[in-house]
Amino acid sequence: MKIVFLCFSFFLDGILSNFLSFLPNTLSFCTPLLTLVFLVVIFPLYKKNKKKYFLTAGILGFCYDLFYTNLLFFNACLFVEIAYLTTIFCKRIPLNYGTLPILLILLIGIYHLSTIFFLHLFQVLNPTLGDFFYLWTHTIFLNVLMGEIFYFIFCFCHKKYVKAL
Amino acid sequence: MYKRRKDRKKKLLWIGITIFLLFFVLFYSLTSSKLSFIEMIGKDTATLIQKVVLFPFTALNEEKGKTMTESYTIQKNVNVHLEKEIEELKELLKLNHTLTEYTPINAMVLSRNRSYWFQNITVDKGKKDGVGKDMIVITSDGLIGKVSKTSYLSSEISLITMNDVNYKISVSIAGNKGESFAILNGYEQKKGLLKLTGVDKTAALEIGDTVTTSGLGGMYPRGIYIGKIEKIQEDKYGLSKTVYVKSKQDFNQIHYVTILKEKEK
Repeated sequence: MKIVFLCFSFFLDGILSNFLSFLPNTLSFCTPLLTLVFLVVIFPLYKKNKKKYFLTAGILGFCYDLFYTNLLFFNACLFVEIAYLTTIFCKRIPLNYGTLPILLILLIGIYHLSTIFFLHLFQVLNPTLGDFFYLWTHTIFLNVLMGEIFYFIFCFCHKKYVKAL
Repeated sequence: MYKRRKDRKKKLLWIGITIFLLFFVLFYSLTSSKLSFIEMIGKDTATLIQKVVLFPFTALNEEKGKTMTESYTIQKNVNVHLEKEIEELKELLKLNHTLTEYTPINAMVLSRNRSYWFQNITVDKGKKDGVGKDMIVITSDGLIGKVSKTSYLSSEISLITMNDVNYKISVSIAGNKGESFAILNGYEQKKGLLKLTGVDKTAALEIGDTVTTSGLGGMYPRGIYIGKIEKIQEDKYGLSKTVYVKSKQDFNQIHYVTILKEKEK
């Protein structure tokens, strides 16, 4: 089920951004980052094996780069960073319908901020803080909603997931 | 105590190495303009999978594809007689780059770079089909970019909407009162307008004037349509003008493109 959902969210990410009108540079309020959302939601399944979780994050990020960004290893590194932050957050606060949106909003923000930081650092582009807030606010809605849906499905169908929570 | 200190040093060393490697990898990823052999294999495998997964969606856009072969013809805008005439004039004027010297390669867009900061698209034609770096990419609505990376089965195209400081195109503005030159090097994302800088303040420009490539610099041939002037602004000190151009191309809806390959001489 994990693999099926992983593939589903991964390809849905691409389909939504390539074939429907909400593309990255027009940025509607429904810009998807579903792979990242899925990575956060599945954390309870890796609670006892964090190394495997980081490895999954790295591989997922690498595939994301191969398929969607052409910046090999960039998202692989960022996904591992997000996975690490998820483990820290979940160590202190349990994952539920209330905390998941907060975590997702926070992590999506960190993801964009990290991207901007490295773009600035290596003088590739010069994004402003305004750009960051614009991007952040426009990627929250759909992703938080999808995060809740993924969480609901896992709670409903996956006994191991509920136990791990 | 000594052992604990040694362990701490070892841990710090590992953290240092990891951070260094991380920065190196990120730097490489953001700045490299060529694909390594392993990257190429990975990219080609991804292209094949993507073609299969996205087939139902690309099939939906097939209707739009029927016009793709027209795009080059429209851009070229010549018939047999004109082509002969151009050849003669070229020889007379010693011109190197005109549109008649290019062979079109039609390609389908596989994906768009998901990152908001990078205006790139990936197409399904690569080295196998003769696509090379820096080749010009157009649609029936005009210039859209150039090939930035190629693998065996696919290529990455950097769109002209990319706000990269190193991505500049010399353009010509044809108005009623003569021709002016400028540099295209920016894109106003929120307004959807291309930005031209370095326009002489005395240049007589009007809203609606046509902007095409100038042919200067040698990379882009002269005469590829870019768009029409939408807004003209004087800079702070009144020394030059900034011109905003509206392209006919909707850069969010690119499904098929034509890559121009220079004919071998």
